[in-house]
Amino acid sequence: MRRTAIVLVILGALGLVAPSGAFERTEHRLSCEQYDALRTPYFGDLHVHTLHSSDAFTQGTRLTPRDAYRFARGEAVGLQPFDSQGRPQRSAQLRRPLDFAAVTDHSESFGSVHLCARPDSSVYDTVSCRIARQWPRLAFFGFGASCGQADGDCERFEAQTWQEMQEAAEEAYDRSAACGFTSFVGFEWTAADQSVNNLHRNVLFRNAEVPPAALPSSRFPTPEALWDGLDEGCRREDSSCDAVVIPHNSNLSAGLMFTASEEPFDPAYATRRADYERLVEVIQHKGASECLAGAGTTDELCDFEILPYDNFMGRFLPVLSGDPAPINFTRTAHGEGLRLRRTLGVNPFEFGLIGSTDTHLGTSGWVAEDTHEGHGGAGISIGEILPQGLLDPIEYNPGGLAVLWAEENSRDALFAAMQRREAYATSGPRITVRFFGGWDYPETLCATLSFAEAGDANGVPMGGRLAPPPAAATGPVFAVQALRDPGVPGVPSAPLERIQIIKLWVDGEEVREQVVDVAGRRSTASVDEKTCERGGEGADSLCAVWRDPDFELGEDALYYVRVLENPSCRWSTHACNRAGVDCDAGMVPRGYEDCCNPDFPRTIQERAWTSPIWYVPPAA
Amino acid sequence: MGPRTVKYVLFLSFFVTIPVPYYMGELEFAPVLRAAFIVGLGLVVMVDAGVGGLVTLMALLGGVQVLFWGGAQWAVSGLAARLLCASVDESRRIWFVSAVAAALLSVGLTQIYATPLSSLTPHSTLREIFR
Repeated sequence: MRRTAIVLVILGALGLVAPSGAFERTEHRLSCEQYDALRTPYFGDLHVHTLHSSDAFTQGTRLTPRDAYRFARGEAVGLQPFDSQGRPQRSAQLRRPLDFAAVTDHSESFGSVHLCARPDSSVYDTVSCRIARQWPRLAFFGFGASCGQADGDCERFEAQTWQEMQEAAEEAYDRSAACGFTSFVGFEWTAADQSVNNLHRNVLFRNAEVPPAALPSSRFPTPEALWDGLDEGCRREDSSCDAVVIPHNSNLSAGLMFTASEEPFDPAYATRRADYERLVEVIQHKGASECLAGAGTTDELCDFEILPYDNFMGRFLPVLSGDPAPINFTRTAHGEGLRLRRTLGVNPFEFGLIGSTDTHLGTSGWVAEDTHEGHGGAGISIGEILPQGLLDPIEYNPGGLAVLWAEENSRDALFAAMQRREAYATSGPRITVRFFGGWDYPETLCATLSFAEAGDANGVPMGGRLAPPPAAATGPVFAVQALRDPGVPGVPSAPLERIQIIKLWVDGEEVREQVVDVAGRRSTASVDEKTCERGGEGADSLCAVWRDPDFELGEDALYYVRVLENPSCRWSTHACNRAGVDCDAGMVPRGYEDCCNPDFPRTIQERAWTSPIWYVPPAA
Repeated sequence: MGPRTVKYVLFLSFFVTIPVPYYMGELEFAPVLRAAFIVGLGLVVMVDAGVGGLVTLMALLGGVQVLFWGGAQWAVSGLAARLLCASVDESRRIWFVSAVAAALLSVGLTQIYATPLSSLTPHSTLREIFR
């Protein structure tokens, strides 16, 4: 820490570090040419797997962390299947590069995944490894060598993989004044209760100072053990290392993601959880986790990209999985957090929202509906032949993006945005959303040019807590502004339909919710499902200032925003149309049977979800 | 062709071609032969790398299902053989049984098997079930 400070002072004197802003600077790098104290939205993907994840490797993924960052920066990559000469049979390229990304391979497989693949492994020539190489899909299920056999190779490969991930992140990180791209070193901690109830979390580090080894669930089996490990290996007095822990797929956790390993909650647990887990991934390849239609809500828009099962078993053996539990969803957890704060004094679920892909192809941010070809992983495994039919299970989706409001595109600035939860999720489109809460925004705020300036000056942005109410306050006021995704030439994005504010509050012991349309209105826009052409009106931008008319001073509450686009074709509709499927005429090529499954919509409303703004009543 | 031969031929045809559902980490819909093959590979790995871990669980799970489906097919073959011998005279039995076996093999050569555990393709033919 002291050495870093000295370096920063010297570099500062030489003009090589940016002026100090709202965030702490912990690394030495050139100042960013683009610095905006009012902050800019940066779009990225914080959940990406490459060949270092066993589920990706055994499906033929050969992209490395370096490739995943190249892809994120806009370069084309080749994808499996490969021909006999090793040439990829598919390619992919983003229409627009990302601003940031993190490769988060499963820390559990850093060592073992390479045991049978690398000729310098001591078990490379064993019968088990020959079987693993000949039948790679079976290798995922343990058909191969184990670490116990391998005479220290696992530890060696684990260290090399962790080193490679750091080097790849460093090479991709733009430390020049252009600040064109930011990478984060990270990994996925892949714990699961009874193997199938998902408790997975991504761990992202603030800068290049990271623990000497990633933390696998085999050695850190509970979230509490993970936090302990990070306390010990990262957040030390003598280090600038810091980390955020981001749970994902609470929708597949069988109700366990938003519980404690040892219930009931206590204030110490709640404080630690809220400190480390400031964000939750609300949308990704394996479904959305915002809310569940019919489970304590009448919100008709809670049917978006919902998986019809409760844990991973639902995908592979549905009979052993139940219906999704309401507490799997962030809205329920947010409400539960408000309730727990009243008894504990701390809200364990004071988390913001982001989206990401969870791609297992190394294709960071590959979220376009019209080009979606699956992301592997728990989806369809592309072997040596490109299969006929849909390349992803019908219930999956291309995943989403994480958006961070930051002063500049640097690790420190983006990490600070994650910590203060000034972050939001989109289901793919690059919608811009700004959300402030305060006590006295003027109703004319949308008409002024100083929306952000006034938002900051008189309140808090998304992710914050409202200041205590002034004596004359009648209720909090929220200002929200949304801009349509500008799209790219030839591929325009859908216009905006409306902005909603979702309020949760605690009334007695009950958590209540209200969904209010504050700008725009329910659209009459349509989509031709055969051609995916959109029709009807929509907005390029929407803005609203909304005062909560039902505010009660003594009730815990939170408010977040959902921005909806006009309807557009779902990925599966694009794929089915390309294959010439006509359900009415009975023309359904093999593998496309799910195109005619009435349980899945043909159109969707892409959207963005902001992190909430919380109101905590003054102590009695 | 005696009842015993009829039973063996039918059983072999069923075992090699008729898709049955079984679960070994993923749900497949393929001939019992494929399940038995995967269990066999698991046993080889267990001999080489030691008992324990996921592969042992997979082999056990698969082994039970192979026994179940194999037993069911054995029973059905026996029943079918008895019915066939009672209703078709001996000189025509060979043609009848051959036709059944050939038909099953022909259908098996189309992509009717769901094999997500395959390293080649999630939809296999009989020629691809060992991949």
